[in-house]
Amino acid sequence: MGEAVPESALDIAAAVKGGTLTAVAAAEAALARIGARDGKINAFTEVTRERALREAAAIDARRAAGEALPPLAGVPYAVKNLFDIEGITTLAGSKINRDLPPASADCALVERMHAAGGVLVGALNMDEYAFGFTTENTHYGATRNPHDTTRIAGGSSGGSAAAVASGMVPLTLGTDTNGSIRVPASLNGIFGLKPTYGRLSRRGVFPFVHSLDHVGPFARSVADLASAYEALQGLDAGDPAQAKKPVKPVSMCLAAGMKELRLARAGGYFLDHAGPDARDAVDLVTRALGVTRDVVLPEAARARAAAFVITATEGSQLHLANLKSRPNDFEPLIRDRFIANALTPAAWYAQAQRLRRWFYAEVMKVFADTDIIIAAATPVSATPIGAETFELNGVQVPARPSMGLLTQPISFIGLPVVTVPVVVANAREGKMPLGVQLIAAPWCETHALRVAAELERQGVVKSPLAPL
Amino acid sequence: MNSDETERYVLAAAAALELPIAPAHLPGVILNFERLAGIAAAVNDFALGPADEPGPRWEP
Repeated sequence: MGEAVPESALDIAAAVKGGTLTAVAAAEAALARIGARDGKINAFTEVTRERALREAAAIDARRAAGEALPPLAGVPYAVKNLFDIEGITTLAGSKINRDLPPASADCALVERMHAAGGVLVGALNMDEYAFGFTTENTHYGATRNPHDTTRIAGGSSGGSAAAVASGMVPLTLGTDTNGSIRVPASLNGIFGLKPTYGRLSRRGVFPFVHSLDHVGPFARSVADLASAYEALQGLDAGDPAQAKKPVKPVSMCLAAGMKELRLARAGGYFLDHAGPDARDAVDLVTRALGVTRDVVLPEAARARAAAFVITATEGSQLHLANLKSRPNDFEPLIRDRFIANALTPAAWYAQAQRLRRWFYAEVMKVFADTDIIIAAATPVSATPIGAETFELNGVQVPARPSMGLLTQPISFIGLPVVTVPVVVANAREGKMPLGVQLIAAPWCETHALRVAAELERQGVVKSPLAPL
Repeated sequence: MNSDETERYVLAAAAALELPIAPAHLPGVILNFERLAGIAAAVNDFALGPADEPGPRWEP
């Protein structure tokens, strides 16, 4: 060791390619940071030390042999523990899945990260079966927010966000069914990308709700986020829901700025369900971008309700056999809800799926003259671990489901979103971060990334390392 | 549904699925089903026409 290791993924890759840093040194530094910091955070459920050093040594050997190195050469990363890692049992945050054999192969996105030169250092904590917004996991302990370890990291990809926010790794992968990338990105003050539904392969990712599940990356800069997204793209026959879309380079577009993009703030439901700090965060972004127009996504509250019903139905049906045979092995915080959800009448589910297409058509009318819709990502900043409720505009609301109030209507129809961390004074909440959603039309991830890059250039959004 | 109707539905639907509910879990299951029903009401109250197709599309 002894070599200076940059914080950003792209800087690490550049140093490895340039020969000023070895991939092994970068991996060892990441492993050392995990050893030093994760005791306070509890983001990792598995550290893949041997694999990391093996993958890193292979990168160094390729450089020594004169090979051209891939874009993320030597970049340490980690994945939510529902991504299959060869040789490791995929926990999906559960006790029940401990009984499963180790995965026989890497999932598609770990394969892609490997091909891009990534070095896998571990698996990350989450809400059991991705059913939650807090990562208060009874089996593996709560993941703690690096900005205030008495508070939640958000969920369900809480470990993925906290690992990046605390600087243990520059890149992680997570999943988002109702907000599980965007909520923890917001609460941990980092960037998160939930691509369009069907954009990235979910092969080898333990499902939650098949018709709503997305996968995507977290990072501390837009350039890192974009480079991960590029590496993760590609057709894969193993995911029947993946759309047949070509790989779309995005990094080269980041410098394009706001040219020809039409922006608007989401009014109505999205303002009504944002607390004062979340509205401040949105105001900072809209002022910086010169946004003066509001749009309304009609029936957003019903859209959120329909996402709830679909989640309840599909999510519980997936676990029906275990709910019958071993209910006491489920997360106590969600077991009764899982059982209740299994009893959802089919007519409710069918109506929710039909409402989904109606809502999609209405929102697409909004996109006829708008490219980016701006909305808060979470109603409030991170709540204390164990909190049952929080106050939202004078009303006490249940804490665990309500963190998804602003994300659920968007993932319901599969729109791509970049969540950006806003540097807001947060006078009311201290220094806890908050995120804002940059919502684009389907397959227009580039638009959201361009706006995120512009905000980053202006200094309105950034992801400072959490002081631990 | 009132509380009694909810409990009867929960027990009948669980029986149809052959899903046993432990007595200790039943109050929590009923409470959660009542919450779900409250949320679902906003979905079920919305008027849709015969041409409003469901979201997922099968591509053979």
